[in-house]
Amino acid sequence: MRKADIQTGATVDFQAVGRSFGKLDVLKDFSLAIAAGEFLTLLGPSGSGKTTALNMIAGFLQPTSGDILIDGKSIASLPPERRNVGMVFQNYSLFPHMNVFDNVAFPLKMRRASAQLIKEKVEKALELVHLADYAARMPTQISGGQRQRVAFARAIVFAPRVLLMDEPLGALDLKLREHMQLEIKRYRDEIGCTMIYVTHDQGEALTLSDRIVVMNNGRIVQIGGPEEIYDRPANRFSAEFIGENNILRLQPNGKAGHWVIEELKQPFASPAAAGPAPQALSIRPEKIARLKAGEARGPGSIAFDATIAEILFFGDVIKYSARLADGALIKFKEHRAAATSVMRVDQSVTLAFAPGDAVLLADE
Amino acid sequence: MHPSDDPGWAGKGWSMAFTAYFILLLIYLLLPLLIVIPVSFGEDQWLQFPPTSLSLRWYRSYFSDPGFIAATFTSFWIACVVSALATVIGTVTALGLSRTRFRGKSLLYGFIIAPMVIPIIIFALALFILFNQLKMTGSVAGLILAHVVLALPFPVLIVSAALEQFDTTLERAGRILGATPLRVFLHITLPYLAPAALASAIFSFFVSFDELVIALFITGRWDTLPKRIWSDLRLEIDPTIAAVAAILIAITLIGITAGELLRRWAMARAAN
Amino acid sequence: MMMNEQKQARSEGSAFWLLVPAILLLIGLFGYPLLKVLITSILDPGFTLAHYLRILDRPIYLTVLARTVEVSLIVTALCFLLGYPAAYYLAHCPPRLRTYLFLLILLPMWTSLLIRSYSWIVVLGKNGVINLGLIQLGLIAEPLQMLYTTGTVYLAMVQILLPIMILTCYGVMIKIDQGLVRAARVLGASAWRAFATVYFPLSLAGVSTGAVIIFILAMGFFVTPALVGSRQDIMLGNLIETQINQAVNLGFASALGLLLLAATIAVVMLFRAVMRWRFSHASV
Repeated sequence: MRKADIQTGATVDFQAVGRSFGKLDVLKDFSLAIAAGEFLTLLGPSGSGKTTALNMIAGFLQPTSGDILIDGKSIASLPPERRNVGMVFQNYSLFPHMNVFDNVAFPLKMRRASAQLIKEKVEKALELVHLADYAARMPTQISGGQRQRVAFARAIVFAPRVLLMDEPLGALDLKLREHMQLEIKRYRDEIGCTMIYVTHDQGEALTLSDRIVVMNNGRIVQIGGPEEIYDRPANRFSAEFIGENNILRLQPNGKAGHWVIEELKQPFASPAAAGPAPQALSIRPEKIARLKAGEARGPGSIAFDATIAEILFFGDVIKYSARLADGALIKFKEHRAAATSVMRVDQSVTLAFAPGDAVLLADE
Repeated sequence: MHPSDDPGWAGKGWSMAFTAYFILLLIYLLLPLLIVIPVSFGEDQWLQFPPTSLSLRWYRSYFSDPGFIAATFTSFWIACVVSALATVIGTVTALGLSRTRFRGKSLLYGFIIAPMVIPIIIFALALFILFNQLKMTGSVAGLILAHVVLALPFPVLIVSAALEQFDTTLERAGRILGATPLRVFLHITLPYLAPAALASAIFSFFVSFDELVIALFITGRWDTLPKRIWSDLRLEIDPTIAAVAAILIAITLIGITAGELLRRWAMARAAN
Repeated sequence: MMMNEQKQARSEGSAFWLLVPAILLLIGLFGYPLLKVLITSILDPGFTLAHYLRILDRPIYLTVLARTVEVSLIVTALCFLLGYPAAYYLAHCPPRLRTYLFLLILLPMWTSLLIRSYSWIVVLGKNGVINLGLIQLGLIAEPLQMLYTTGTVYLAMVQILLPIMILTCYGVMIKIDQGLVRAARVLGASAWRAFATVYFPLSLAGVSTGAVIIFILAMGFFVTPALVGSRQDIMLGNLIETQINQAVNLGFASALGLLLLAATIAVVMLFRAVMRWRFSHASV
């Protein structure tokens, strides 16, 4: 399938959408503008409202307040079958009584395409997912990864302008999941439609997305590109949910922009502190370095002593957990260069990080 | 579960004894039925096993008895109608039960199953009184409806079990891929339910085809096959019955095997 | 949250009307006629207890009732004793074999009740297979009287109802997590104690469902006792049939029917109470 065959993506706008089930608000005042052709991920733990948002685009749920627009037109009154939106489901949802070809042909048949056109388009779609030889197989006769690819072919065969993906890799094992991430990247390069991806797996979100929407308790917590989300978490939830992080408490010491890091008993200053008063800072384990004996600490860096408490050996990386003087634990990570040896539990170390790598967090 | 999952209280000796026991039990359950078949091919006026000479005498006697043939046809077409009605109503009911949530649903479920587990003589008595009052004694429609009520638990139970395994996201997938609710039902839900419905149809057929007690009470003058067998058995036992029995056993064997395999297929397919 | 969404999605389309045909059919041909039985038994044409008094008046009816209950209880117990090990065997045999064995249990269950009763006549009758065989072998001179005895009624009724017990027990046994039994063994229970304290209590749901169904069906039997039993073996069902087909006394037949229903419900409720009591005291 070439780009020429595909319409360009549509914009999707959530306008102050709310959804409640009885007394429970699962989505609150949700506003989001998704650009045409964008790959956007809704990332959050279960119960964060991400699936609810997706199901409202699909038409399986109606908003209790607000409106959703596709290409500027409200879709509130359209049933799912008239929204022209593709969707890939978590557990494949291939029709068990149809073979691969008929599954992929289904949306075209429902649109009353001619047999000739159906054949052409299905073959192209199966080629895209590298399953051209599997058309006659039944869903039970192919592997999990292949089923997911058929589900993908079925969702895009009718050239929808928006493609929804609900944890599409959730049912696959780790190896296959990584492979399918590459596949999805390839699809998105070849077809130009807007993709909205729901996952609780931050790794998937970081790998695939143009933009990530971090959600919690029915609200948007942060919107940004993968780098921004990772490097500059907007609040404590983002900092803890995405990647590993150390959260250290801050006590104001009187002057604006100056604090004491409680766990380290060290001063910390940041001129850039604006907005709500920060309560904590986060520092990624890979940003904390161990100072070799006699090594000088960098200018302005924050250094402290600790004892190794736990060691997790990953081969290429070693993750340590070290106990600070006040008993709190801090995580840090070392890549294994040729010379680094694995430390022992109870070994004393001096650790340091650059203040510029720390992120100030308002309590959330 | 797997054979190697045996919890291990059955040692080798135990397991041999178990197998022997099960075989004895099967003989008890099946042998009387199986003996009827060779007996039906006998020549003698009196039952004989093994038969002294083989003949089709009693089959000829069955096929040349207009009363028997008429009763067989009556039972057959009534069973077909009952099977169709019970399957359609039962499937619709199972769909309704799977898609609604209301207080007293389990009560309704119990109500639907009740005709299967109430002493049938009481049900027959109740129908007799009703039809007597409505001056409907002898009505074919009455017997058909009564049999539908009696057979209904089977389609409801079998189709409900299949629906329980049905992944409703398949219906969502159908909708988002462009099918209206009606087309989703026709193209996705119905084909999924087809084996279960067909199994239900077979079981419902036999419920009606073999049913004696209600027919005895409410049909009045005309005969169904079980009614005819019943009156023959009470008067004089002629080996013609053995021929009828052998035919019925063969039909049951084929029908129930097909029905059970279909039901299993319906469940196994759902599991994927 | 998923649960909520599904609930929501389901209730958004009303499917209640799908239940209407079955409800109408059941009310018209099941609920209402059963109510008519009650009414018929106490109206003749005005309110009367005459039919019930007639039952009490002559000992025959209560004797038959007592025998009906007794036969049904014994048949139920026999079905449990014979069926439970068979169900266990079925649930724990290799799956491929299981399909065939399952069919062998289903076949007699679905064969016409009349034919199954008849097959016992062929086997046990005066000119039946066993008698002729024994005479041909010279073991007996005169045919044995096996048909039309109480023993034959039990033999035939158990054969007819046994598959139900096997299937209900099997249905529960197949779902018992074998890990639980292994856990009990690892925790120090002997094979027998693991069975008695873990497996059997878990399988009891199947036993009690099977027992209740078999007891109810046995209470209503009349075809089998009429065909293979003696005059003394008639059950309440036979009396009702006589009232309908020969005496046509609807009021009295209804009273007998309700007596049968009441006795059935009473025994089932007693059984359930005992089971519940057993369960609540099991841990003591």
